[in-house]
Amino acid sequence: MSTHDTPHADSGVNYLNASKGLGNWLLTLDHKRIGLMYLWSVMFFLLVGGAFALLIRLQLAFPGHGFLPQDASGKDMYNEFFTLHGVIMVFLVIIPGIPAALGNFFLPLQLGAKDVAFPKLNLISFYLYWVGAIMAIVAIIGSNFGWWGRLDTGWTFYTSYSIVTSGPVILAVSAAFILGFSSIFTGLNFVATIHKMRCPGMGWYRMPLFLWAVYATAIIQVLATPVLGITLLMLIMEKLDIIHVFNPDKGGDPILFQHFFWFYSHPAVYIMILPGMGVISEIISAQSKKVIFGYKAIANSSIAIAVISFVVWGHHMFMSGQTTYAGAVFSFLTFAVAIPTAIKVCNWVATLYQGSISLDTPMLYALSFLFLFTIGGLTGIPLATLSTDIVFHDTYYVVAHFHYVMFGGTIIAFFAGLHYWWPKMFGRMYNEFVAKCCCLAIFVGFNLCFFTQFFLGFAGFPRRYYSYSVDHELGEVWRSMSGFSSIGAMILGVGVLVSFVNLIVAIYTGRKASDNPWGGTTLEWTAPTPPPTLNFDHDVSIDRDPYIYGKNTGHH
Amino acid sequence: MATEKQITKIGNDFFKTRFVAHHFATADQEFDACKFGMWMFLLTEIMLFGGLFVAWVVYRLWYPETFKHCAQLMDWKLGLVNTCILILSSLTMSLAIRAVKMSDKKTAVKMMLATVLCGAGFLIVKYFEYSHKFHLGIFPGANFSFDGEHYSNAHHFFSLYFVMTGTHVLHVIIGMTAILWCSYRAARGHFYKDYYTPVELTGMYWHLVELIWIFLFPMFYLIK
Amino acid sequence: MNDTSPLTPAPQEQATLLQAPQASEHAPQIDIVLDVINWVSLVSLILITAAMLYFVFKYRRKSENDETPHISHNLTLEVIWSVIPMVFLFGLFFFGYKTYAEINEPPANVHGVVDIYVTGRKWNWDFVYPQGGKVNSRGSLRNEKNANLEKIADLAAFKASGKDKDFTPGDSIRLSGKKDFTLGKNGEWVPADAAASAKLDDPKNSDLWVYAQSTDPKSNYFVVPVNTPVRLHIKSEDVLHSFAIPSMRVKRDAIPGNQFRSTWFTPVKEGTYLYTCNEMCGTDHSYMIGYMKVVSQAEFQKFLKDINVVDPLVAGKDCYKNKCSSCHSLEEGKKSVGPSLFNFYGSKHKTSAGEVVGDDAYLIESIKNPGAKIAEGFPPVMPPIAVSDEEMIYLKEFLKTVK
Repeated sequence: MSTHDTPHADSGVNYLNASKGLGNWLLTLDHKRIGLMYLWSVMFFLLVGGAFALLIRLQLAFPGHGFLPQDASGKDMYNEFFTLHGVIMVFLVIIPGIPAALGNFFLPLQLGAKDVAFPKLNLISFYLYWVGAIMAIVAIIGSNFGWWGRLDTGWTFYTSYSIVTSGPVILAVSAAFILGFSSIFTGLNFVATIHKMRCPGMGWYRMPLFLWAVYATAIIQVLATPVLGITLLMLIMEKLDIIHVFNPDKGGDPILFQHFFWFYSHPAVYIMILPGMGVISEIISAQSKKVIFGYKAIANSSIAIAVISFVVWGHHMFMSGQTTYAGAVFSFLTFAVAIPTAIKVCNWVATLYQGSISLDTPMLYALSFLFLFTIGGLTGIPLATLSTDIVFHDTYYVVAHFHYVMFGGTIIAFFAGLHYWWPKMFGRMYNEFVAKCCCLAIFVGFNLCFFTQFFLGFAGFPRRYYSYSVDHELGEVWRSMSGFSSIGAMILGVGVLVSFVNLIVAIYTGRKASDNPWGGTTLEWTAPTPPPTLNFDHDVSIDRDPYIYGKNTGHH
Repeated sequence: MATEKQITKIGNDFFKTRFVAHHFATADQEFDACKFGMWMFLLTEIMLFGGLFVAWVVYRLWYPETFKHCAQLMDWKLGLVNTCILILSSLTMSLAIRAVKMSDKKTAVKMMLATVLCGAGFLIVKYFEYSHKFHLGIFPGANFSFDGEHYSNAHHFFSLYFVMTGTHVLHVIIGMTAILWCSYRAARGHFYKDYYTPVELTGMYWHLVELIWIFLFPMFYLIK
Repeated sequence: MNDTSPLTPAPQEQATLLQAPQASEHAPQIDIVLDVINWVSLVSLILITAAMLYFVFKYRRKSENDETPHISHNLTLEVIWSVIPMVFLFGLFFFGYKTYAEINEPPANVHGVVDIYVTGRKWNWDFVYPQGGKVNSRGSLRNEKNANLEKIADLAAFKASGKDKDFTPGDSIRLSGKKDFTLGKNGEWVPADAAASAKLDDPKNSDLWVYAQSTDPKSNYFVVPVNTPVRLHIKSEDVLHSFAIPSMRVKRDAIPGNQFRSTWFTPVKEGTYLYTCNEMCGTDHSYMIGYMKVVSQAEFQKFLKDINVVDPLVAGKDCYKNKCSSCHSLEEGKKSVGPSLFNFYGSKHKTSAGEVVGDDAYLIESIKNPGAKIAEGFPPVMPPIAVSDEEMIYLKEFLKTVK
């Protein structure tokens, strides 16, 4: 590990200890404290959602019935597991994960601003997040007390099953609606902040790439999430028998819901992955001590992805009797969105060329990201291709592809970001050895868990099955690969848990970190560690590009 | 954060001096950021209503005959009255903002109250329209039934009508509340030529609410 | 523990890690696209990973004071790695689209094509053959327990087998020779009443189905002839389902509403193949599976005879008489309350929504949702009519003959 600056003269006052007491934290307008509260919430829900995932893998470890009761109650419980895994991971972990936690903390710091544009709105977003979270928790608890059936629709709430199920769909959908508004307000805040609060000298092309990624994300959040809002509102009214837009018995169309839903939810997967790409751009540059290769290409490809993401939603409905022509258009557009992504990957690899590459934990995560995300991207191709989607639609291949992008991409980037910025956030270094072991466990466990699911997909294993028989031509693959997948899931779970413990222990016992342990050149590293409430102890302005490693420019 | 109270005197009126929030460099930056944020919010509102508009388009394409027939049951005169009321209210709101910019406290408050009155007028007309529909047995959803020629998909037209105009009415009520709050603060002397951000933002919101009605009116009343 | 069926004969060809058996004519066509994609992907992945690892190894940090060159960008390189993926991606798109266009649309009028109407409901599939006759998926997976029950002669033998422990009060069973019993509240098996027996007979009762025995295990399979195009017309009665036969590379969502959505395939290898439900549909989603048998043409004809219980034309005419005839005549041009159904299929009908060609979708829509398109010159007075999907298929067959 390198130390470019002498440890900051410890004035003793920072955002963590500026004011004490629970009230001061809960009513804080400081973006760093709000970001931190988001962070704890996201980490908590990651463990909860992960626990559900482990229960799913436990159930499917062997053919026939797993550990759940062998009757309707057991099956419904299983259906609840994967629904809650999906709802929690999507709405409470991945979407707010990087933007609301790390983004909140580092967006103003990287901009050289004192705070986001609307601090009160920021706090409101956080509380909306918890209102939504509590509604989701009530939905879980309620079904165990028998107040209502189990939430068993899957996180997509597809009609017309969601209309007829006895589960607390209205409650869960309202939760998603409220979480949507939390997401909208965060996005709105970030867009306004980036537009209006860049420090003097910071032109658009002098912004760190993390900010470009967050900016593209925020645009999608602002434009797409309201459509989800109105869709979920219509679903609620459908359940209350006020309208019959999605009800086929009353002249409605259940597929219309899918169009509405994916008009949001496909852009939403870019809400999930774009910030991760931003984190990786930061880390690869800093850990190679090298200027990022193709800055403008990476920045603009984020925007290109955001724009194209709005017109690819129909690829979720290739098997719903969509016409060949419509299918062809959506397939083509989906292929088009792959191009900016491919460009990004090439740029990252090119940045490594002739660098000075350290293998600290953040970099290990970033390199894992490159490998896993590339697999995730490439395995999307057969799903975007019309003819091969027949084989894979609604099988475990989709599950594997999705997890390679969402876990192998977003969550790995989240871990990379945590390990990269943890010293700045808390002024303490974590145990590097434990962190590296966890990174290895996560890498191995993840691949074992999800690469096997590609094979399950080739053998047609359908999604959301409570149990499976093996007495057919596909059975041997189903048996062996499900088993390996479950083993991988357990390793992965341990890796995640231990790395969280390692990080949290570091806050109390870690050795003091310097202001700039990685030698980064973006603005957050010029702030004291941990930063004071107003972020900088001096007026900030810049007259340079964000990444200024290399012979010609020298260090600041 | 500046909390110290200071008084500004403009003409014969006194105003509470407004300080720039701690994280902004200048008052202009603060105003720009707030206005920009409001524009983004209006975009989300447009996307929100956009979903409903798409649903309307889809169902009109599927059941054109039913929609034509049902539109004849709507009273376009009442719709026109409401359209005029809302356009008038947009004018009064603009005048209120103009007055605030000129630090004219009295006119500002009057114009804002006039806007709220227009909003109330809109709601009253809407009340009569709704209760007339209910009287005919046209309810949203399950209880839908009415005498007359039977179109089995008429409920789609009317449930979309109730949901879309209902969502719009909700926005009108929120807008009126915001304007009332602004007029209260204006009367207390909070807004003057150097600080009128909340009035400006509320005005933008009100214009959008009016604009949405401009689309709803032909969709349900005029297109036959 | 296992819910597996001993009735399934040993499958002919097992899936490998990268391929389910290629049992339909178009399976190799799809798999070639897939192979090409996989090879392109694999090569790209290896290139990227190899470059990454090589750089990491070669340029690993030697000291804290390493100097790195300032390479901000390189237009030539960037154009190269934008254009090459673009060419590959759009090539793959076109390849995939072309194959899909060839295999997606069912053939219009191929001689000898077999039509099967597949209706999903929670949680079983109906396979209706327009020749008259129906198979239901239910037993085909779960008749291990049932088959054994059917073989058990009496209650004593049943209790001795220890299987009675699986049941809870209220459950009904059927032992050999249609002897039906119900488990009482005190754990005593009592002869089933008429209602319980009727429930065991009624295939719609999916809860009880677990224990009910179909009369003939053969009828649990749905059967198609080898080397003959098979058109599946897929629909749902309640919520979304999705019908898939992995070894045939066939999948189509089953959607409630007015339309059967069609797909097709030509099986080329005799054998038994798994089919599944791929869209989450509730409690027993994972049990909406069963087997399809591909048999010789002669065996298929025998199968049709075995399951044949109705003459489709007679059943269709009955349906017409009971549910349509009071308002619609069958004579050419004769106006009753509604238009005549003479020559309904294939001819053009003027409606409020423009000109419509008489086909399955228009017929079903007119019955279930009469207000959607109103025949010109007639008042919109028709109420929705309750016609089951099975009746609908026979009605269609019947109306096709009225010209």
